[in-house]
Amino acid sequence: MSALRLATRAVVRSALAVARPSTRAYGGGAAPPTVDQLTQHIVSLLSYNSSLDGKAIQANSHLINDLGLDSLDVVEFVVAVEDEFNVELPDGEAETIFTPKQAAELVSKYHP
Amino acid sequence: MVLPSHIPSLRQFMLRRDVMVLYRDMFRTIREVNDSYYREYLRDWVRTEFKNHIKETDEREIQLLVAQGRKRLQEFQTSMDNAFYRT
Repeated sequence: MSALRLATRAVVRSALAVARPSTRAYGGGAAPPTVDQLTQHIVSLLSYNSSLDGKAIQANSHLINDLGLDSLDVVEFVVAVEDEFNVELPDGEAETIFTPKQAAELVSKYHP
Repeated sequence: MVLPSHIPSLRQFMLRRDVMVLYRDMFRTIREVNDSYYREYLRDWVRTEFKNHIKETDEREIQLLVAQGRKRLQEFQTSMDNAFYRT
């Protein structure tokens, strides 16, 4: 990705209004979040998805088998997680995410 | 050895992966859009376009759709880069 596009992204992101709880509060010298904290945050992020209304979302809920999402929804979820935690997950590892806990573990690995 | 029909071939597997990668690249690009309403509009549009073809099984058709999608994404990325220059 060019330096220009990276700079554009930084400017755009700083202007974004975040209405929901964000891990931006986790940065700036605060202790890094634990995997459990990240998992709970991701579970609450999933609960905003209206297609999952009424479904019990747990740390090990399989996005496809338990929550009924399709593979495109899973991709969208991973991008939303990247956006929420301001991380870029490597494509190969992002493809292994199927539960909130797996997403949290990967975010913990790459969280700045 | 002939694999059971429900197991995708390597080509089908790679094609499916191309679709997922394109979908992911589109959503990653869309999040750079400044306007939240336009961002949501684009997400809905991409989601609808992909899901309209989710049952497509013809490999050549899927390849064509992916190539078209990749071209549109590149055009959109170029227009975003140009817009940055103009402001």
